[in-house]
Amino acid sequence: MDATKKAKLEEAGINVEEALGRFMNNEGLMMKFLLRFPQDKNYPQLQEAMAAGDAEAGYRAAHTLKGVVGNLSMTRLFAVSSVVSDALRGGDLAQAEAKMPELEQAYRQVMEILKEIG
Amino acid sequence: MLKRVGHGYRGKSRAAVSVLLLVVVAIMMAIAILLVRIKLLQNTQSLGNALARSYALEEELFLDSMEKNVMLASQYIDELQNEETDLEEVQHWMKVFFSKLINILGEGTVDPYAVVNGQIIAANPWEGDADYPYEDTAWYRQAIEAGGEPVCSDVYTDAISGKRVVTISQALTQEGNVFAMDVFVQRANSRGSILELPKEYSYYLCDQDGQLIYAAVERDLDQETLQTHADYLIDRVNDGSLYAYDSTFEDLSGVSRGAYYYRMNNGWIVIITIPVQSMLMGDPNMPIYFLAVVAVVLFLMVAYMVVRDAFQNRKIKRADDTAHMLGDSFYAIYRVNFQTGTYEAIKVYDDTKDKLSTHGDYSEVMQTMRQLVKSNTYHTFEVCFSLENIRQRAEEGIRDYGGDYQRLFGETYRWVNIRTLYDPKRAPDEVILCFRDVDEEKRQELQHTIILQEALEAAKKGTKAKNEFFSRMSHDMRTPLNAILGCCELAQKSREPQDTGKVWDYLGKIQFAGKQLLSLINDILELSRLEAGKNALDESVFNLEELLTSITEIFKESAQSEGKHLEVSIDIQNATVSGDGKKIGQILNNLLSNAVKYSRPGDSIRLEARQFDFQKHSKYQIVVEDTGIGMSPEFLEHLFEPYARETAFSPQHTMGTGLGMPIVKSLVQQMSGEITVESELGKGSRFTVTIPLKAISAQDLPQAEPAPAVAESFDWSGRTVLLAEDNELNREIATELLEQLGARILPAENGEEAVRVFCETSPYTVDVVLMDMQMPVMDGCQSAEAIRRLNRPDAGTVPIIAVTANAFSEDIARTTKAGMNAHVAKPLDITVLTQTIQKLTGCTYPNRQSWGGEGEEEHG
Repeated sequence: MDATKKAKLEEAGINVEEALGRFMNNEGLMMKFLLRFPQDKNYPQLQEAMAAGDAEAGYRAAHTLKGVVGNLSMTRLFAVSSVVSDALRGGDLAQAEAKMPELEQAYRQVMEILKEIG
Repeated sequence: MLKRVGHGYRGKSRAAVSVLLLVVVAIMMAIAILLVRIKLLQNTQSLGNALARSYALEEELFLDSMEKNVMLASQYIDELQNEETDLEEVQHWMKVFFSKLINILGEGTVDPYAVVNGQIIAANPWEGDADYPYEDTAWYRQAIEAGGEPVCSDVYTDAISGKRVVTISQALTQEGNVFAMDVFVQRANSRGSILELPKEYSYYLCDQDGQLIYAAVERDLDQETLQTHADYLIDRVNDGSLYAYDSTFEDLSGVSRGAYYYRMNNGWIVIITIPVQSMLMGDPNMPIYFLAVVAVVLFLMVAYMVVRDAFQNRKIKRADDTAHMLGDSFYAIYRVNFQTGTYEAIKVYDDTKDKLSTHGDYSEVMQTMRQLVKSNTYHTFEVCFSLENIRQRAEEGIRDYGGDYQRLFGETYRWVNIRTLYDPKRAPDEVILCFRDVDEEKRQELQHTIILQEALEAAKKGTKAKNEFFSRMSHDMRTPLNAILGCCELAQKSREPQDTGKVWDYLGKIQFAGKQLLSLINDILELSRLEAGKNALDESVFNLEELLTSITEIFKESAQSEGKHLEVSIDIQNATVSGDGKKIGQILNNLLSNAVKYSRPGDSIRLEARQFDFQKHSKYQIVVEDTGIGMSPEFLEHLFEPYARETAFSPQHTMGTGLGMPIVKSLVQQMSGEITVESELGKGSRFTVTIPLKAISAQDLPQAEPAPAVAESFDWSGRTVLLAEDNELNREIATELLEQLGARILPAENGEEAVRVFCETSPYTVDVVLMDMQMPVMDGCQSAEAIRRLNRPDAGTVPIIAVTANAFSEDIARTTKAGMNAHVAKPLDITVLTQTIQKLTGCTYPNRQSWGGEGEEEHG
């Protein structure tokens, strides 16, 4: 694994070691799925639901997003999306709203680095 | 069965007719013989009666002639007396007259005498004449009474001679004078005609009293016996018992005879007897013999025919049955007379029964066929089976002719075989036209033809490809050979001392070209060996990591010299494996040499090796990747096909055979592996080889890492996993990971689909269900409940594992309530998942019966 690439990924909040472990040390496989992440629609759906104030739809999107980023070992994004998901599960739109900027930042970081690598 | 009974009945009635015929013939023969016999007897009766009558007439004629003699004599005596002649003169005349009569009639036939003037004058004087009391005699009295007419007496015995006589007397003119003449009736010589009778015939002549006058019989018998027999016959005549034509009597010898008679005017009777034997069986009765022989022959013939018929009956019946059975294979049979142009229907198919009568004009058959035969073949049909063509074939002596065509049955066309069968000996003017359904055979035949054509096509294609390959190969071989020869020539010319450098250069080129040629030949041999399937696997234990390293070392040097980077990344746990190392080396050689060949300076080449599923049946994946010139999609398509080398793909400095990749593919397949390739023109190629190899227990290895827990963990290979996950990315990740472990994935996008997919599998196919909790349409819990409610044997036992990002206890409680056996948290950790299943099943190779027991309890 390219050290610079690894550093960049880690910088974007991705636990490369953990991800590689999950993908059985198959870097190609890991990269394949990492690069597929930008196509995942859960984040835009979450944004949409938040804008509409739909806690239920928001919860579904946040929950799924949490699952996806967890699988990809996007640790930072996972942590924030967990908070949002839990907040929305309890219908706490305000708390979720408060966490959205942090989530957006983590998401953008990942997207940028993936764009760079891909 | 009905037919059999019919045959039996027919056979019996036939025999009865034969026997009846025999009896009739016999009766007719008997009647004929009887009729002939009757006719013969009747004829014989007529003959006998005629004979009797003619003999009687002869006798009467004789007596009559005697009377005429008496009349003549009387006249002469009257004349003598008129002239007053004396008695002596009369006496003298009498003697002359007597002697003349004797001369004519013969000795002892007559004796004349007369009474003249009271004296008896005789031709043969008798002593007692003078005293004889003539007035009292019958002859004298009768003559006087008759008054000048001759009178014949009855037969009596002459007192003097003792012979049987009749006396004819006539009164003379002078009163009291009478001329008389005794006629001896027992004369023999005057009955000459009787002697001419066939000797077996008998003749009897009796007088009015039945006294036998004369008899002519075959045997010598005394007078008394004859008289007795004559009496017997006369008695039978009198009582009428001999009158019928077929009446017979037995003669003295016991011979059966017929008797025929005639009674004369004077009361005498003539009887002729003829033996029955001679009537019927004598020479004149040949017809009887002939008829009898004909009758016997006829009878024997009929009898022979009856017996033969009985014997042949079974044979005929069997032949008949056979003909019937053979006929059953045809759905329609006609007899066509090509001289008269008519047909006779022996068997008609149901759909033409209304249109065709049992007899008719042949054109009617053709007319009916027109509607049934497929239109595109009807014209040929019409020509081939026209009367004219049938006649012509018969003339040419073609006995069997026909073909197949499609005929309409109801609404579908079926193949039918039509034949005309001709036998000039049995029916010189007729052919049998028969039809058989051959649809199935024909279809199979057509199918076979298609298969054969395809095989032929494939063979042709293969041959063509091979031919092309060989012509290309020969070109490829000629190129290095030309180089070798050319360089040799140049080297030979370089004799000057300063040319040493050039010679070395030529030698180097010769060596290069020689190597090219050798590798080309090696490849051809290898491929032909592989194609012949003789390249068996040679298994041995070897260290895969060492093999990979040593091979890449070889290429590292040449790659570096060409300014290419070669990286190696090996990540395998069990380096010691059992397999065919030589072949793996061959594969890598090919892949790496290609990578080096088809990359440009500055490009990088990567070899990666990985191991999946750290079990006994491990899979090893080797990836050879380059950033070289790559391949076009068109080329990729034929990459693994031998003899299909892309011409553009042969830069001059990299001569190859184009056989490398087919060889590689063949080798990988032989090891039950797989090879895939991704490539893009200008960007590079990536070959991925996955081969199952037996991992040898890692006891010798210093880095014996695999933990016992892992070693004993659940074996995913060959397992079927139903994966319900709505997020595409998550589903793909899980699918990829589990597939890498050898599992088969049945994906479902929501809970409802999961139930449907589960239903579509046969029981016990699904080994485990991984159920995401939150899904559209139907969530994980609902889906699990639905699966558990299904009516199939594994519905209650299949392990269902919840996969959730929520670790809330209430969520877990819900999964348990829904009948799920366990849960794992997202993100997915294969090790955790494996352990969970391990825990659930309780063993590495789970016994299906024990699955879900825990789940059931939890459910309850």
